[in-house]
Amino acid sequence: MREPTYFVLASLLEGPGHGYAIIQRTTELSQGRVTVAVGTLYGALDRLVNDELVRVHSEEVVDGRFRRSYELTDAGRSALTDEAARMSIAATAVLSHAAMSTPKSGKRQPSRGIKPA
Amino acid sequence: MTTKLERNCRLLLRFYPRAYRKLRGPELVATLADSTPPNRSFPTFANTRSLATAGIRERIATSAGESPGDIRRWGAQSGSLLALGLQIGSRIPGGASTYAPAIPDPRLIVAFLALCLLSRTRSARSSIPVTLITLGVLWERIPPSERRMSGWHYPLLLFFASMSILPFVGRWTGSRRSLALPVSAVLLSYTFGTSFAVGSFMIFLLVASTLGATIDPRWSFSASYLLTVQILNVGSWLLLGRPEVSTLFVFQSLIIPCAVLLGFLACGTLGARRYVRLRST
Repeated sequence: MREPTYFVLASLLEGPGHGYAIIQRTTELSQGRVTVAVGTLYGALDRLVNDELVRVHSEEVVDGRFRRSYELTDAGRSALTDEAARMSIAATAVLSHAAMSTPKSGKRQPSRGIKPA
Repeated sequence: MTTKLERNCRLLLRFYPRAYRKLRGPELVATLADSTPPNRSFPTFANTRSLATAGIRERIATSAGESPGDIRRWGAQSGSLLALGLQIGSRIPGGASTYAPAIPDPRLIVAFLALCLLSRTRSARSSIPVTLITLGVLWERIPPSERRMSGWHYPLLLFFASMSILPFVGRWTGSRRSLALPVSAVLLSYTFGTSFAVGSFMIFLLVASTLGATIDPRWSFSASYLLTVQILNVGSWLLLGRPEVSTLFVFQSLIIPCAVLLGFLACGTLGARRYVRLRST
């Protein structure tokens, strides 16, 4: 799953949202690191709707502008949770190794419990 | 009331195919307008670029299938149609083309059309050897005297015929609008000459690719196909006609086109892979 797709799904955890709301939530969730452009957003939404990870929640006209809201399906919630768990395992694997290395030299210490003299 | 911003947003939606605009148009315009800062009358550069990319990708998806093979096939088919149009345009009497020697032998034209029809039949689909063997038989049927008289003319035509037919062995992946390609190529070639037509097409593609306007990998394959036909034409002329030509001519007519061909192939391959990767994630 690509990062923008991951954050688009994550932004719908809060509840249903229309296109602009998803863009805003994505920026907030990623702390400004991921900004989804409109074309990218709708490409991702098309794929997610096709894969039945997201479905249309409601359609309305607000201030003369047509808005279609989307929500997560059960499959989408499950896929998002699985992806988050996978990334968490991957992050833990790296961070636990990083914690073992010395900060000054930056070299990794022996991993068999042998302390340097 | 429609604002200037919304009008410009609708203009940008032209990148998408009509069916997609009908389905998602109002929603996209609303999101685009919301995402644009209040003092602007045109969407931001990032949104414009993403709409162009996504719109063209959607167009490819609706017309050229989903695999790199489909994209390559579309490019080859369009390129062969262009090449066919250019060749026909250059051989119409009274046209601007200067090097066309004569109208080809009618038997070759009939054989060419018969092969095109044969390649469209179900039994001959995906049967490239059948096409090649038929071309070989056709070559053998040409009297040796005519072969000698015509010099490089017949091999060139056969090269062209084989190059043109091969992409059509199998499924047609382009839209009906693609059929406008040979017609425009005939007109361009007849009015301004083949060299001008090929040159202008290549320059247009190079400039459009440089400016980022053409990210469609199909056109890179199409251009590379057209270049291959031209390189084969010049190459067969040099090999079989054995004319006295300068090194500069060889450089201009073979080396540079080969380099450009490799560039187009690389762009097309990378573009097709990127397109498929983006669609599948």
